[in-house]
Amino acid sequence: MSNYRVIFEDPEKPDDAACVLVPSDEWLEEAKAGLLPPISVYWALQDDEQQAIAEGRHATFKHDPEKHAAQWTAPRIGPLTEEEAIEYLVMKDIPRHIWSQEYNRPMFKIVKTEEVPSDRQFRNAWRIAS
Amino acid sequence: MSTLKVNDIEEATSGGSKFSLVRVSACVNLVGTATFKSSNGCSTFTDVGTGRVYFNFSNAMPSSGYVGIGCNNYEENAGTANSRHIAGNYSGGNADKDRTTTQFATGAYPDSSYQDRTSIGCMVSG
Repeated sequence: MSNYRVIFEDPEKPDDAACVLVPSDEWLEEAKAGLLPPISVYWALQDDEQQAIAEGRHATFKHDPEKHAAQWTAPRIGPLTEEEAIEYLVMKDIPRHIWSQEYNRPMFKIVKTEEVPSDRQFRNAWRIAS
Repeated sequence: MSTLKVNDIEEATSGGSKFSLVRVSACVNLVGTATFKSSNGCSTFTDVGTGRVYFNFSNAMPSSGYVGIGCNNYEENAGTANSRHIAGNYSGGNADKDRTTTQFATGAYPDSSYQDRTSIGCMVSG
């Protein structure tokens, strides 16, 4: 199990609880083995899909075959440490506006797994501690 | 162990129709510390709140028309009697309408609210 979690809040949804990103062991093994493409491959796909959503054509959206295949055909970036892999995941799986812009307080934090409470009684009230 | 790498699997007889591949299957536990129980094709999951999960795919699906199924286990008392698996009563469905080619949301909505479960999963094909 990964030693890390990423806690984040979405400034566009201020009433929502903080989210917790949990990495999969399977994916981390691939990252450590150097099997990942450059992050730009995923960003290109995300950009195309977001444009389709904005233009109201997502219901029939298909990725450009060449860009889609790049997930497997693009040159690999080489082995990552677990810490580097977590940073990669922030940029891949957390909405871009959360980590690419500056706000008046941090919108995400990388924390040790044991720092995340296991008592979920008030889960929907979780916020990032200041 | 060796890995079989193919793009399609086709039936040898009866018309040669193609088999659909399950590209993503994953299961998480939201009781206590949220963790993966198993993962194939998921880079992460996002614990969004009580009983709610986003599965983030390792690789994007080819189109938005993929098939995704969410499921969760029945528990008479959360964390104890996991007697059988049923599809989630997620306001009439068990998957979200705003899914993308890289993310699929599901959850456990057994009565009138979301509840944490020891097994919330998804299977995705397309």
